[in-house]
Amino acid sequence: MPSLSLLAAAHPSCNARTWLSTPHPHLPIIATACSDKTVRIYSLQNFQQQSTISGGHKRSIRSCAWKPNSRGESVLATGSFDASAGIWRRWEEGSGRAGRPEMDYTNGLAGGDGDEGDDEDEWRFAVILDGHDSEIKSLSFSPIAPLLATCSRDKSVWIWEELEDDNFETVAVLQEHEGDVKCVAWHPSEQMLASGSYDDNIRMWKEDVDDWACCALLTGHEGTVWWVEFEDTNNIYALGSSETLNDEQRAYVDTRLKTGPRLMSCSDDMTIRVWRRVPKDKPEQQPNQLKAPSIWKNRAFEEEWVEDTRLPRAHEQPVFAVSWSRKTGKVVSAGSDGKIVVYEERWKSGADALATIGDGQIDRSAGLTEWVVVAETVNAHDVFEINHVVWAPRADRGKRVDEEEVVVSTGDDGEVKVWVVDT
Amino acid sequence: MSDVQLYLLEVDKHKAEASKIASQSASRLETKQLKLIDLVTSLEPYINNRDDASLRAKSVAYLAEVLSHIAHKVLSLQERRLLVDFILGRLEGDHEGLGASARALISLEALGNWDTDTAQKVMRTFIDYTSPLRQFKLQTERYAVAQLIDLLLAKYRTVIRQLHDDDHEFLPAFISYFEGEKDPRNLMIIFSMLQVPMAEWDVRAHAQDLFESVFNYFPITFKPPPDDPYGISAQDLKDRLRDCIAANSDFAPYAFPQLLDKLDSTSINTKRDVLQAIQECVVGYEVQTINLYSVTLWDALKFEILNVQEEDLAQEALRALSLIAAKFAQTSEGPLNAFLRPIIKECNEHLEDAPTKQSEAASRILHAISITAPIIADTVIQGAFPLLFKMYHGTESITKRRGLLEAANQVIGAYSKLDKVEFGMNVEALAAFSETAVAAMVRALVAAPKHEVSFRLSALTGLAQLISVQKALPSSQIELAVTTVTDIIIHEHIEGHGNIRPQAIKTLVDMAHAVPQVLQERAIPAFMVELPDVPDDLSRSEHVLEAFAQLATEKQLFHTTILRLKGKLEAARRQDAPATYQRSLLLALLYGFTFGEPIPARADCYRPYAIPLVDEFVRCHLARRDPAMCEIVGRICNSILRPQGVHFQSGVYHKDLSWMSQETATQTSVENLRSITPYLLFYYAALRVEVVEAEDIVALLQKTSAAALDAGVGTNGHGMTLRLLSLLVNKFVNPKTMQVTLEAAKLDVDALLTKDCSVNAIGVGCAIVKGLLLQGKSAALTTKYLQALLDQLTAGNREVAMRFTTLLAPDDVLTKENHCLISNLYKQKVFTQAVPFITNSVRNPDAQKKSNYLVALSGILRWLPYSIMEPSLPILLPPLLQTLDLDTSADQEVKASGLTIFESMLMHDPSVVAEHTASLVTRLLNCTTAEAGNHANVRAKALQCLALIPRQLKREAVVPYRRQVVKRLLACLDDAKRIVRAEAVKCRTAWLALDEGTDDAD
Amino acid sequence: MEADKDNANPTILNPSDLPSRRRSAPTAKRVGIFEALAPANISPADPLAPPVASDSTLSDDEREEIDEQEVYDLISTISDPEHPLSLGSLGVVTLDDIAIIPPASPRSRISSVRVLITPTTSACSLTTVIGLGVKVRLLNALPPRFRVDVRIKEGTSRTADEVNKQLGDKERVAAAMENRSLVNVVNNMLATCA
Repeated sequence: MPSLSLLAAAHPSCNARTWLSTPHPHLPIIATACSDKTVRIYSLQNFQQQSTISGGHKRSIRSCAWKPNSRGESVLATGSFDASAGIWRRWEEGSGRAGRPEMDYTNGLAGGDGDEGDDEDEWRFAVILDGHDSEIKSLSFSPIAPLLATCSRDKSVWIWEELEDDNFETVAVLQEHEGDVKCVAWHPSEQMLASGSYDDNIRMWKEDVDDWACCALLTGHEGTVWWVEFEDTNNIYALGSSETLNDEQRAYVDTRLKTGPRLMSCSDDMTIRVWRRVPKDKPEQQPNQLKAPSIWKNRAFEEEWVEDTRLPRAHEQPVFAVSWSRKTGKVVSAGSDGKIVVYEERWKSGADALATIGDGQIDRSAGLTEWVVVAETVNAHDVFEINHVVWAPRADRGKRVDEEEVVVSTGDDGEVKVWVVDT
Repeated sequence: MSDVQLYLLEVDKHKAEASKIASQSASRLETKQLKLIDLVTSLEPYINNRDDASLRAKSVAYLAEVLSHIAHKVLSLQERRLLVDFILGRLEGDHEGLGASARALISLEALGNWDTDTAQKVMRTFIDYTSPLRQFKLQTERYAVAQLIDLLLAKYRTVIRQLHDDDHEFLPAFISYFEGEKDPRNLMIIFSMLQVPMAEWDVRAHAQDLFESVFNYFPITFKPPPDDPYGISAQDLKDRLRDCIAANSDFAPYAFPQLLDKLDSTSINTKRDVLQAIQECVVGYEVQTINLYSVTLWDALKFEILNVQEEDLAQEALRALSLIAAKFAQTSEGPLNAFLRPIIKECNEHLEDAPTKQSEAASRILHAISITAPIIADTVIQGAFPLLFKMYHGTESITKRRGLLEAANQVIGAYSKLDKVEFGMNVEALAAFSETAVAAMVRALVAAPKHEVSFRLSALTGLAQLISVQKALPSSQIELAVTTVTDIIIHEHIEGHGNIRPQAIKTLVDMAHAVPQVLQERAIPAFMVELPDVPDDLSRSEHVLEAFAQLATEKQLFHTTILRLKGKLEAARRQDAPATYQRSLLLALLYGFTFGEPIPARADCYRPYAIPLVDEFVRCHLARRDPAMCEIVGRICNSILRPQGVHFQSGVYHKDLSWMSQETATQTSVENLRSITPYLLFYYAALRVEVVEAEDIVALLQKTSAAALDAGVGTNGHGMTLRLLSLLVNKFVNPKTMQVTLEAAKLDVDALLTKDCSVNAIGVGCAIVKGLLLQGKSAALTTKYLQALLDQLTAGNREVAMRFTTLLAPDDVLTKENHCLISNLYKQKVFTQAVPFITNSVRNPDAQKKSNYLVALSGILRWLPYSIMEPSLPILLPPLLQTLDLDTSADQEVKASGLTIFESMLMHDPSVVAEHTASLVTRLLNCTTAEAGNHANVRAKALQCLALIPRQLKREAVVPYRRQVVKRLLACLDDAKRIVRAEAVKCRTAWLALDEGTDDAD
Repeated sequence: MEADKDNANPTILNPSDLPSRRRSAPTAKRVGIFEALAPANISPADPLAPPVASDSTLSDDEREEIDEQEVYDLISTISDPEHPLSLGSLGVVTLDDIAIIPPASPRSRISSVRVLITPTTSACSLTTVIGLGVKVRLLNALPPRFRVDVRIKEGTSRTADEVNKQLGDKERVAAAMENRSLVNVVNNMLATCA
C-alpha cells in the first residue's frame, strides 16, 4: 500500500488546537483556524507563517473560508465560538513571499497584539456578522453567487447575501435541523447548499420561488455528520476519456452527467458515504422513495437524493473530514484515529461489475465503479486527532508535475502538515 | 493680654503653643497667681459671644485644657461644684463645645469624686439637653461624651441606677440618646457601657428597645480602614455586640426569633455570627429561659448539621447544641429530657438508613451532646442504643452495619473521653450494652469478609474505646476483646487491601495501657507461641515481632517483653537461626530500650542485657561478625549507657578498656578494628567526655585513621570509620590541645589535604574538618583546612567536590545528646567561607572544573537552612540555575538538591526568582524529560517547582509561558513513573488554571 | 438553594473501602517500625560508597503503565457539584466501571479510556455537568494518546443517550470549556483533585 509522505510541517506551529486549514483560491497560501482565537496564514511555498489574523474574536476560531474570485484583495471569512463571523481583507501585494516566522510562542495569546506586521501583512477587520445565538461551526462562500452560508450550534443555517462590499444582508435563516449544524457546503454549479448536523442528517437547501427552503433530507448516518462536500462538475472525466469506455460505461457516464455532482459525507459513525441525486426524468426508477414532509408544496422543487455507495471502511474512530479533489477526483479522509486515507474511484473489472454491491439499494449502473484505498498513513499527527484534511495545489520547489496536489492536514497538536501522495 | 486671649489666638494655628498657654494658666492657678474666678470672668466675653459660635467652642476648649492640666487639691470642692454647674448650665442653653465640656467634666471628676446629685445631674443634663448624640457631627465630640457617660456608669453604678429606678422615663431617653451612632470607636464604648444597665438594672419594661438598640448593628459588616489608627477590628465589635445580646435573659423573646431568622441568610459570615451569638446567649441566659427555646433552637440548628454547606458552620451549630445540653446537665432533668427527646428521636430516624450523609451527621450530633456530661451520655445510650442494635441485628447489609457501628462508636467515644475527666464516673448505662456491643464488634472482626476494611476498622476502634472506659466491661469481655485483636495480629497476613494489622497493633497497644494485666496473661503468651527459635517463615515472624516489641511501651509490660525477647535471641543464637531473624530480635530489643523504659531506670538493664550482647559479639569469630548487628548492639548500649552518670559510665568504661584495647591494639589487623567500628561509634558516642582517657583516644584516633587511609574506595563500613573519626575529634579532643593531639595521633591534616590528597586522604581530612567544624572552637585551624579543601576544588579534584556534602551532612551520632560539642554557627561558618569563593570561581570556563564547583556548592547548600541562604539568593541563583544543566547521571543528587532550593525560593522569595523566570521555566522543563537522563525524583521535583511558578509569580509575568508549558507537559503526563505523572497532572492543572485574561462575561 | 437537590441524602462509602493503589499493589514495600531505628541508608560520611538500591518507585528500570486504578485516582477525588463529597465516596465513579482499551491495530498507538458514571439518582439533572467534569479532568490529566470516552452507565439515567452524545462531541466540549460560567462550575468540582 503506497503511503503519504510528509512534505513539511507549517512553521511555527500553534501552541493550541488547530481546527481547519483552507487553501487560497489562487495564491499559494493557506489559512488555519486556531483555538487561540487567531487565524494563521502559512505559505505553501516555504511553509513559513506569513501573518496572523487576531483581535477580532473573543473565542476560538472554528472555521474560515476564502471568498472566491476576489482578485487584487484577499477576503477571508472567520467563524468563531463567540457566535459571530468576521470578514477580513488584505491587499495581495504582500502575499506570496515568505513572511517572517514569529518564533515567540506568546504570539496571539493576548488576542489583541498579534497583528503588528508591516503594512502589506496588514489584515483589516472589515465587518462582523452577528445573528447566531451560539458557536458558529462552519461557513462557506458560494462559488457562483455572492452568497455566504454560516451554521451554528443554534441548529440554524444562515445565508447572507453580499449586496456590495462588506454589506451583508441575511436572506435566509434555515431551522429544520434538530441539532447543531456542523458543516455547510455549496453545490459547484447550482445555487444549492448542503448541511450536515448533530441530528445525524444531511439537508439540501435551495431557493424556492424567492424563499430558501429544504429540498431534500438525506438520512442514514448513525452519528453526527461532521463534513459534507460536493464533487466537482467534471469529476466524471477522472474515470477516463469516452473512447476508451465500453457502452455500459458510457451509459453510466451519461446518467452521471445528468444527475450532476454527487455529495460526500463523513460521520461520527466512522463511515464515509456518497450520495447522488435521482434525476427527475426517470420517474419509474425511484428506490427508497422519501416520505415527503407536508410543507413541501411545490413537487418540482423537491429533490430526491439517495446513498450511492460507501467508501471502504478505513477508520476506527469518528471521521471528521473528507476532501474531494477538484483535479483528480481522489478523496482524502481523516479523523480521530489519526489516520489519513486516500481513495480513488475506478471502473470495476467486468466480473464484479455484474455483481451488486451490498450497501443500500443501488441500481445496477452505480455498480460499475468502485472506491479503493490507494494510500494511507497512521499517526499522522503523532497521537493527536486530525480535525481536517484538504487537497491543495502544490507550490514548493519540489513540485513534480503541473496541477500536482498535496494534502494539508490540521490537528489537535496545533500542527498543520503537508503531505504528498506517492504514486 | 489674658491667657484666654492668647490661647484663642494660637489655638487654630499652633495647637502645641495653645496647650502650653493652657498649662501655664493651670500652674498659675496652682501658684495662686491666677484666681479661678478671674479666669472664669476673663472667659465671659467669649464663652457667651452671641455671634461667634466657634469662639464659644474654643473658649470651652480652653477651659477644658486648663482643667486637664490642673493637679489635685488645687481647686476646692466648692470651686469644682461651681465649675460643674457652670459647664452644665451653659450646656442647657448652648451646645457649642460639647466635647470640650465633656472633657472638662472628666477632668473635674478626676480631681475629686462627685456626690450623688452631681453625678446624676451630669447624666441628666446630657440626656435631657443634648439628645440625640448623633446630632453632633464630630466623632471626637461624641467620643468625649461617650467616655464621660461610660465613666458615670462605671464609677457611679448605684447612683445612676437610682435615676432609672426613680424615673421609668429615664431608660428610654438613655437608650435613644445613642441611637444612630456609626463610628466604630464610639460604638466600642457604647456597647460596653450598655452592658451595665443590661446586666444590672431591671429592664423588663424596656427590654425590647434596649435589645433593638444594639441588635440594629447585627451582623457587623464593618471593615476597618487600612490605616485605622485605633486598630479596631470587626472582631472586636462583634465580640462586644455579642456580649450585649447575651447580657440579659429578657432579650430572649426578641433575640432568638431574629437570630434564627438571620440564620437563613445566604451569607456564610452572617450565619457564622448568628451561630456564635446563639452560643453566647445559651451561656448568658438563664436556664429556664433557654428551656423555653431549646427545641426551637434544635429545629433550626440541626439543619446546619444535617445538610452541611460549610464544615465550620456545622461545627458551630454542634457547639451550640452541646452548650445547651451542658446548660441543662447541671440542673433538673425536666428541661434536659425535653431537649434531648426530639434530638434522639430524630437521630434515630436518620440512623435507620445509615450510612448516609445525614446518618453521619446524626452520629456527630449524638457525640456532641453526649460529651457534655455523663448523665447526657447515659440518656443518649438509653435512647439510641436499643434501636441501634436492633437495626444492627436486623440487617444483613455490612455497609449498613458499618454505618450503625460508626454511630455507636461516636457515643462510646464520648464516654471514653468523659471517663478521662470525670473520675469514677458511673457507667451502668454503657455497661448494660457492653456485652451486645463487644459481641457485635468481635463478630465483625472474626466473621466479616476481610475486604470490608472500614467495617472491621470501626470494630477495632469500638473495642479500644470500650476497654478504655474503666469498669465498662466485665473481665470476660475484656479478655475476649484482647484475644480477638491479638489473633488478628498474629494470624492475619493479608497484603494490600484488607490488611488491618497496623490498626490492630495500635489498638492492642492502647489496650495494653488500659488493661496491662490482661495482656500479660493473654497476649504475651500468645505472641511467644508464635515466635519460634528458628522461624520457617521469616517475614511472618518479623510481623509478630514488630507488634510484640511495641508492648514494651507499656511500663508494666516492659520487663516481661524484653526478658522474653532476650530469651528468644539466645535460643535463636544457640540454634543458629538466620542472621536476619537474629537482627530483628536485636532490633526489637532496641525498640524496647528506646521507647520503653524511662531513662533513669535503664541503668539496671546494662548488666543483664547490654553486657552479654557485647561479650557474645566479641566472642564470635572475625569472619562471623555482622556489621549490621554490631551496629544494633552499639545502639542498644548507647541507649542504655548514654543517660547514665559519670560514676556508672567510668565503671563500665574501665571494664571494657581491656578487651577493647586488645581489639584495637596495633598488632591486630585493621579488619579487626573495622569489624567493631560500628559498635565503637555508638559506644563512644554514649560516653561522657570526662570518663574517657586521653591516651586511649590518641591510640584510637591513630588506629582509626590508619584504617580509613588504607581502605579501598567504597569499602563497606568505610563510612562508619570516618564517622568515628569525626566523633572522636569533635568530642574527646580538647580544642586547646587540638593540634598537638592530632600530631600525636600521626594525623598531619595539611599533608592529607595538600600533598597526598588521595581519595582516602581527602576522606579522612573531611572527617576531621567536620569534627572541628561542629566543635566550633579552633576557628583558625578550621578555616585553614577548609581553604585547603577549596583549593583542591580549583585543582579540579572531583572526589573533593563530592566529599563537600559530608561536611554538613547530618549525623545522628554527632549530637548534644551524645555529649558532643555542637556549635550553633558551624553551618554559617562553612557558608560564609566557602560560598563566596565558589560563586566567584564558578565562572571558570573549564567545564570539568565548573561542574566540580557546582557539585561542591550544592553539597553545601543541600544541608543549609533556607534562612542562611536567603540574604545571598541573588548571588546563588545563577550557579543554582547552572546546576540544573548538569546532565551526567552522577549529578542527579546535585540537581535534586538544586531543585529543592528553588522550591523554597519560589515559596518564600518569589520576587528573587521573578527576573529569571524565562531561564528557570526552560530549565525546569528540561529537567522533566527522562530522555535527558533525569531520574524520577528529579523529574518529579522539577514538576513541583514548575507548579509553584503560576501560583507564586505575578500573573502577567507567567501568562506568556502558559501555552508552551501546558503543551510541553503533555509529554510528562506519559512519564514512565507514576509519581512523576501525578506531579505532572498537578503542575499542568496549576498552569491551566492560569487565567489568560481574555474572557467575556457569559 | 439546597432544597432543590436531586438527591439531598446520598449513601456515602467509607474512604478506607475505596479502591486504592495500596490495595492493587500488595507488593509495595512496607516500612516497618524497625527501619527507623537503625537506618540502613548509606552513611552520609561516604558519598563515594556504592549506592544502595533506592526504592523501586524511583529507580527508572521498569515502566509503570497507566492502569484503571490510576484513572480512578484521577477522577474519584472530583467533588460532586451539589454535595461537598467526592464522586468516589458517592459511588458515581467506581473502579469496575473504568476500562482501558489498547490500540485497535498494532500500527496505531492510540488507546482509549472508557468511564461509565453512575448518577446519584436517575433524575440527576447535573449528570451532564458531572460527566463534563470527569471528561475535562481526564483530557487534562491523561497523555494525548488516550481517547477519553465518558458515558452514563446504562439504565441509570433517562437522559443517558443525550448526555453521552454531548460528552462524545469534541466540538461541544471544546466550546463548553470556553464558557466562563461552565468553566467555573467545573473548576469548583476539580478544585478538590490533588
